Amino acid sequence: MTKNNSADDSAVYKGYKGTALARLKELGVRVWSDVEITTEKGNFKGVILPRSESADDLHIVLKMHNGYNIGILADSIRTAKEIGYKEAHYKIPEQEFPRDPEKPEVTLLGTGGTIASRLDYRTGAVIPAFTPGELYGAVPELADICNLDTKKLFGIFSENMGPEQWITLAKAIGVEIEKGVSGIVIGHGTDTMHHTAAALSFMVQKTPVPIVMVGSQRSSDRPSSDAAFNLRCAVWTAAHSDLAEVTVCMFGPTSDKYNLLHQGTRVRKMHSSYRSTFRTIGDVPLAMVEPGKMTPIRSDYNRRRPDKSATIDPSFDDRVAIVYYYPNMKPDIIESLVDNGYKGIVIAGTGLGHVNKPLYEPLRKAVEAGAHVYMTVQTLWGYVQMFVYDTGRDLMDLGVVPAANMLPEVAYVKLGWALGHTHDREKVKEMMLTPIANEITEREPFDGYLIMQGGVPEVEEFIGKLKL
Amino acid sequence: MTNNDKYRQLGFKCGLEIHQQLLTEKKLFCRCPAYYRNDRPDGQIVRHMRPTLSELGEYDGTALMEFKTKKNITYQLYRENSCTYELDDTPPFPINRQALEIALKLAMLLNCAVVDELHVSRKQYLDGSIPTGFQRTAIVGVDGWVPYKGRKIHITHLCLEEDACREVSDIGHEIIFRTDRLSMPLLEVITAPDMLDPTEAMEVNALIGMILKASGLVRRGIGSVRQDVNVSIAGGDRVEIKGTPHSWMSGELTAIEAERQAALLGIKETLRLRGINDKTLHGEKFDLTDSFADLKNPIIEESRVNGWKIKGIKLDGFAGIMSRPVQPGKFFADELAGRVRVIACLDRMPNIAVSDIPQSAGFTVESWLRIRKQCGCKHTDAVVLTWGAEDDVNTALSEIKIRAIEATRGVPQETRQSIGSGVTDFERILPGADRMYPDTDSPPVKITAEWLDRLRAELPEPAYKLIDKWEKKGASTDIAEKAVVSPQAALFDRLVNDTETNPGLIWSGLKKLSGSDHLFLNGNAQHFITLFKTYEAKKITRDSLFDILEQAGRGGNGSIPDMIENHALVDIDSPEVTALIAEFKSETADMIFRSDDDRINYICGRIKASFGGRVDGAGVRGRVVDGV
Repeated sequence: MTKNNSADDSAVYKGYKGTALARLKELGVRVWSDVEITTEKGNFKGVILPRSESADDLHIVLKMHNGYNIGILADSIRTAKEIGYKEAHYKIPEQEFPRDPEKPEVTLLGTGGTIASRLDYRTGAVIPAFTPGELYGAVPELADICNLDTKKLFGIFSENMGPEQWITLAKAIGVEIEKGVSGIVIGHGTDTMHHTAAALSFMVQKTPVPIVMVGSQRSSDRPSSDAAFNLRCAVWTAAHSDLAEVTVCMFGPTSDKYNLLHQGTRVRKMHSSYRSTFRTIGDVPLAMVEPGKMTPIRSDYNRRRPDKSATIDPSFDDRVAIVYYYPNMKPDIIESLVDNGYKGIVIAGTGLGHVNKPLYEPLRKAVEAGAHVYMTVQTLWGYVQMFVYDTGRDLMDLGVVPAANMLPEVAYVKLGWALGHTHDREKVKEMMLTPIANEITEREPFDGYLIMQGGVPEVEEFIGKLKL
Repeated sequence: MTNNDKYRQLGFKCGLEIHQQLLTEKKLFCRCPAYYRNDRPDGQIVRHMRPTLSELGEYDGTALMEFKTKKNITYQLYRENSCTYELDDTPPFPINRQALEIALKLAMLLNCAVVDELHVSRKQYLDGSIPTGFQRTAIVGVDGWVPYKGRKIHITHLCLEEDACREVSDIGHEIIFRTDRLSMPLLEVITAPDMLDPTEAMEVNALIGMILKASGLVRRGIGSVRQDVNVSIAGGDRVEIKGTPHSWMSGELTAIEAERQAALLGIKETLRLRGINDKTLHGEKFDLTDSFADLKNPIIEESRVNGWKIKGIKLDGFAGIMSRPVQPGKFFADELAGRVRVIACLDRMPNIAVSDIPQSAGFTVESWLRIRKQCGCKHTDAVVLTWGAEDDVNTALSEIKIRAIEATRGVPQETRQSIGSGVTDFERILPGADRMYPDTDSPPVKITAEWLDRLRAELPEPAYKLIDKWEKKGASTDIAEKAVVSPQAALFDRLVNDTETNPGLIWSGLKKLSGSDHLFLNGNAQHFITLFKTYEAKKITRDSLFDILEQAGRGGNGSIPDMIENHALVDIDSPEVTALIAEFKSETADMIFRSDDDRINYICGRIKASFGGRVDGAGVRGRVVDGV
């Protein structure tokens, strides 16, 4: 093998550096070489794999012929003989997505995330598979539901989504609605799916068609992934349901049984890893859905319309922050926000909506300086009730506005959206407190708060009988 | 020609895969306690599996086959030993250090080259036995060996992996698993195909099992070890026989598998001579549901009641093949039935009927004449019928054709399960390397030389070395093999080394300690040595030796030195003994015995009993005889 300069190193020695890279060069072998290696300990055979860039520079990764990977200390290698070369081309089988004029048109807008993906074992990362052909290769059942078109807007992890992407997404949805599609599916990482769902609920109003957000909690590179089922449910909802709302479509129970459709403003990711992580807070979900069937739980949702018009209203002032209150919070937390020019503060207060006395003065100054301060509850369930205690009344006197049962993240998104329109105190307040998509509800149903506790006899009995 | 010569002529080769649970408190990738439950589960979930691509971009054959079966998979859960990890609702926690250290020790014990960096891989299983759809597994060592009959049996690699669920039932499209066993740490030992006849397969299986057990680092008892055997003969192919619970079964299983492969090669040759191959085998399919409504047959009757389909496939050139024996009591038709059972989920037997076998599934000779005519069979063709839900029947026919084409090529690579008496049935297509891909949830673990040195210092001697040593000291092979896997092994070793007592007697004594734990046995090793030396010095009797060991085994009657003291031999010339002899003699004076010998024995017995066995029998007898 010829000597390589460093520019070629990354191409030939994918991910190797330092000691390991030097040793590979000395031995005259490269990534994808099928090698026989002798070391101080014994003999190894296999294909040299790329190395994760975050891993150390001491080991060489070998894929043995039985499929296992092992790491070998580069310095312990005595000899290495290349007996072949096996470069891997990892690809989801791509086939043309079949089109049927009888079937509704659905557009899948991609933002990133792992709704359909493949593995990049150079970095160990999961790479999204996205074109209709790739999706058809991975989830062929989609072709039974609709004609699918896909548009990749971004390829980012959900934690990197923000106002800029929300606005782009809202506009793209507007274009699709105008085109007359039957429904829109948005593939999204799950971490901030509920933030984006809230943003779209305000930026895309009066949609004539379903706008369904979907993701997966177990990446689609594993056989037990929830991705295929989520995608089938979401695409079916977009294509065939009469539910013209911004919704999140994710697992209902942790079993593969049905998905829930959650209203975009009432949904929250509630578990770091469970499949059934998304829960409607303070209300019941809109509907249960499985491919081919939707069972409404609420009846007051907006119905699908034949027209092609929606109110696309994308604007956002990002000088807004959430302050999650904790005991002994110091005034400088609030002061620093004002000093840094923040115009909106959403407080996640304790209990019915409280903060400690030392914050009163900085909050008063914040309001005086023109900031819009809204109170939500960190209990997530229930309403802000600032009349119950004097402390609440004192806070309102300072200009802190109770935001009823709006979830803190939703209040954050809505305040940014409202401030994108106006900074007029009364107008902002009117926008904030006038519900658009049930972000504030007039009443909380008795079964809007259900967190079952394991170990309690009636729950254990229930769980034992059900296939959860 | 001996039986084993026959297998050597067939080109018999056998490799072993031994799965041994490790003795840890907790599971491998979560912190659940590792133990079994048999009471009512606390909850259950339902899942399905889809195949995914491997790292090198292929769908694995097994994975695709299992997807065809479309099972509803239920997992039973216990709150105490199944957490969100077992549900596949949380990523793995860092690998269990205790389990990894045990695996590293066993790798060294089996003479493996230990890897420098442990990489956890995912091995796909779509049968549902693992809720993630893959088993997390990592190679700990490669290139090891165990000594056998003066040669080395090569161990290709050693894996540390999580155990799978226990299957509760598998009926039609519903399969139920229990998650208690899931994720318990398991060591997989894989040998090269170095065993050249069924006896060797059986013996090496037992040998490796013994080395693992003797280490004291592995779990014991039912289900703690499972053996798979890989068998091939010349011209055949690798067939894996799963889940042999006992090593002694591997002899019979591998012998019958070798015969099966020979039979399949015979069928291949017949088909070749008939010119049958994947081009000439058309496998035309027929829907016969409505054709034979008038035929009197329970299957036709039942299908009508259930609204099932009855379909047939014509296998060109297969006449006579169906009834060719392949295993004791099994025909080629059973090879097809096995595939249909697993892949089409038609698991109520009989699930097929074949034209070669009269009365097959109750179809009469007359019925077959009509069926064959309907399917346009030539006399060289065969027909296979199957019945059930339409989707399943269609899957079944496709699979029958696949298996028939495989018959033209010889022995298909399969995983088979033992169904008793050495006979096997199809379980799944043998998985390949394509189902392996890296576990991105688990970081590689560096295994440093310092760490290995520390573990090496704690390493027990391998069983085969201990046995060899003990045999040289006069232990029989039988006793050595029993002692080496016993909890008393370390103590036995010290006693054999440090005392002059015959190993057979030591073992007889130590068996009385079978209820004691390691701590007690090894903590008191010095006392046990003293005990045996005291016996050697004839300061206590053999009865006393056994009595002390028995009492120690029950954990009673004070310390061992105290017990030795209490069992000290009584001086037979002492006034006490003299007085007792006189007393018993006068007591028995009026008693009638059959002989003087009986009288002496009786008196000796009374004296022995009076001193709790602490008297020298011969000496007492001498004194008693003197005066009778």
